[in-house]
Amino acid sequence: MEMTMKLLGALLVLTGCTGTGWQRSEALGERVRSMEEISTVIWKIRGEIRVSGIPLGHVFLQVSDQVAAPWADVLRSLSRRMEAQEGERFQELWAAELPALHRECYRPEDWNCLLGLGQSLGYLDLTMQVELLDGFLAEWGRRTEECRREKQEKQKVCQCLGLAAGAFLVLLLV
Amino acid sequence: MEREWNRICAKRIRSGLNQAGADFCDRVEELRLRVGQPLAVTMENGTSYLTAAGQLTARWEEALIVTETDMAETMEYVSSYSRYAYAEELRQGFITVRGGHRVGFCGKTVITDGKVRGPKYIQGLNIRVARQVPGCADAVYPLLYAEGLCHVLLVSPPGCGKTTLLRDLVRRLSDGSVNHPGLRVSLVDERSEIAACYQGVPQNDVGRNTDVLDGCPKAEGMMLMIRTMNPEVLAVDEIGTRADLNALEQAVTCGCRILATAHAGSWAELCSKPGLDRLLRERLFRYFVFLERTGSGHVRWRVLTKQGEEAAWGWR
Repeated sequence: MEMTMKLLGALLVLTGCTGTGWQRSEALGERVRSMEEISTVIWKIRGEIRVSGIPLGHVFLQVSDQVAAPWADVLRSLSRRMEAQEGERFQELWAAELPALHRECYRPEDWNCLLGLGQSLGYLDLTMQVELLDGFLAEWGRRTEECRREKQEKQKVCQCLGLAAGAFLVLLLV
Repeated sequence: MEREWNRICAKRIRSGLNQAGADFCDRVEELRLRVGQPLAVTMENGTSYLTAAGQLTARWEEALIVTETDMAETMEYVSSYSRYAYAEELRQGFITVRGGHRVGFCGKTVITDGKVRGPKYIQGLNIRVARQVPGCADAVYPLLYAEGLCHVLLVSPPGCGKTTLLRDLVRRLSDGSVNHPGLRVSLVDERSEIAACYQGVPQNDVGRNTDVLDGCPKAEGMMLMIRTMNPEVLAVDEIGTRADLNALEQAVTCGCRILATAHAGSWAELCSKPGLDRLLRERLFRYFVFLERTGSGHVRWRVLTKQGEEAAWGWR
């Protein structure tokens, strides 16, 4: 009985620590996927603006049909509020809607970069607007590349550390 | 209830307008925003200033003063948060917003290669509230088309309502009536004054069977419409250039009827206009509708035949 309990405890400790390590490594992967998703959405927005030159509200509506939730919901909501023109400036609308996209995996500097896009969308001429989005995408691409490298370096380490920590605790406690 | 033209104003200004009430908003003809100056409102009895509490006043010291932030905020709403999408309109100096209201602006002009590219440092806005006058063509329409479709020219000096009359005639021809079926009308609206399209959708009622070409130069637009929309009536505002008149002659050979306007104060002045005199000599137009504003502000209309003889007259 005592041995059974010890074995069970050891298994639980090992599973818990391995799971924690695995979760950390997944978070790194999730961050990369989220960053790539943002790139895709902004690329589509840039493309619509460059080709059709239609107002932002319509751009968001068009792009919302091409992307999945939660971006689709955010873009539709933005479009609706821009159409309603209830006395809110674009920066305010962007800052109000974007939190629906926030995830734990984002770093504060990444999030601020995305929020900052709201200050520059809409008020320039077409050429500058497209160039501005190109600049954002280049910067976002750099951040995404950093994430990928970090993921490559740290993913295995997290998984192994999790397992090792579990084994260490088992040895220590048992 | 907020009007569309309220909603394009900055929050501070909107608040003042909302407090002024629905009756006030219904009587506003123009709203002028100038940075650092009091908010000015033009109504039928002249121009006054508006206070932050929504009261009209003749004293500018009591009025709501327009700030740079108000101007920037208003421009953001006027351009649907997308100035890049209105480059052509900015170059022309006005944007038509939902409801057909026209917002003109002025400031420092940017010139590139000798051409106006648009304004920067916008310091002044003029919001002209659109008001259609349905039924203003009721007296004239039966006289002009009693014997069937024909070419008609509406003539007047500026400010007498020929565009308003043109709009209503287009609507009448397009919708038809109990005795007359609706006609396919093609409207070439170069300056977006007749249909007042917002994002391609007419904000004024120009009829169920009307196709609108918005913002296109008249001569090109007429040919485009004839080739693509097969109109029975081609409507166009303010003809006068050689290109316009050449396009008109071509349109006539395609079998559609012309409904157009031209600037002139009298038959003699019309005859003296280069290009138009040729059309008059060729007796292209069967009827001419002359509009003139009297001292009391009423508009008198006269229908003249192609020989220059008065066929009917009345008041609007």
